Amino acid sequence: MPLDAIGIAGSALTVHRKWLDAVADNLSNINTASATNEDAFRARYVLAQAGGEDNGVYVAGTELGDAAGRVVHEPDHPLADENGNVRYPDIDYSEQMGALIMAQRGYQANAAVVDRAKETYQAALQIGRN
Amino acid sequence: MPAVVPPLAGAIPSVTSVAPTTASGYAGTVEGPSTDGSQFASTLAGAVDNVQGLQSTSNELALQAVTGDLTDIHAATLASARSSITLEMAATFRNRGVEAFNEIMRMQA
Repeated sequence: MPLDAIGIAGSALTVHRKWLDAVADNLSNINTASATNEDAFRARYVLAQAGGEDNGVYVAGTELGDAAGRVVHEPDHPLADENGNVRYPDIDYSEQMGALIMAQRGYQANAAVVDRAKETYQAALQIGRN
Repeated sequence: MPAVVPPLAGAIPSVTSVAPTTASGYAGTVEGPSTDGSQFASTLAGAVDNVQGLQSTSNELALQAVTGDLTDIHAATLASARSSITLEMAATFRNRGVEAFNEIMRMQA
C-alpha cells in the first residue's frame, strides 16, 4: 500500500476509539448496583495487539474485571439482601479517568499522524513542479 | 552517494533505451514497449480506476455517516483523505506526461 502511514494510523485510531468506548462503558456503570446473589457489573479492558504482516495495531479482545465487586451495606436499597447488602462494581475512578486521557491523547496523536502523512505526500507531488 | 531513492513501483514506465542512429544519418526504429504511447495510457487508465474505487469507498462511508450506520468516524475521513491524495497523484502524473508531450511538440525541426 503506497499510503501506508495513513492505514497504520487508521488502525490505531480504531483501537483508541474502542478503548474510549470501553472507558465510557466502565464509567457509566460505576454506580450500577446489583443483588448480592448476582455478579457485579464487570469492567471491560481492551487488549491491544501489534499487527503482524500489515503493521499497525488491532484489538485482540477484551478482558472482564472482577465479578465479585465490592459488597456495600445499604439496607434501604431495593436490591438489598436480608443482611442489607448490595454489590457494586469494583472499578477505580482515577484509573478510568487516566485511561480516558490516554485514549483521547492517543487518538489525537494518530489523527495528527494522518494529517502529517497527507501533507508529506502532497509535498512529494510538488517535487520538480517548477 | 550511498543512499539510493527507490523507484515508485510501477507508477511511470521507465524510458527504455533508444536505438542508435544508422550510418546514413536517419534515425533507426525506436525499440521499446511504448512506441505508440499505449503504455502511458494504460497506466493512466489503471490509476483512474484506482481513484474511482477509492472514491466509491469514500462515498459509501459518507452515506453511512449521514444515515447513522457509521461506527468509526475516522474511517470516513480517512477514506476521503486517501481518495483525494490519490486523485492529486494521478492528476500530477497526467500533467507531467502532457507537459513532456508538449515540450516535444514544441521542438523545432
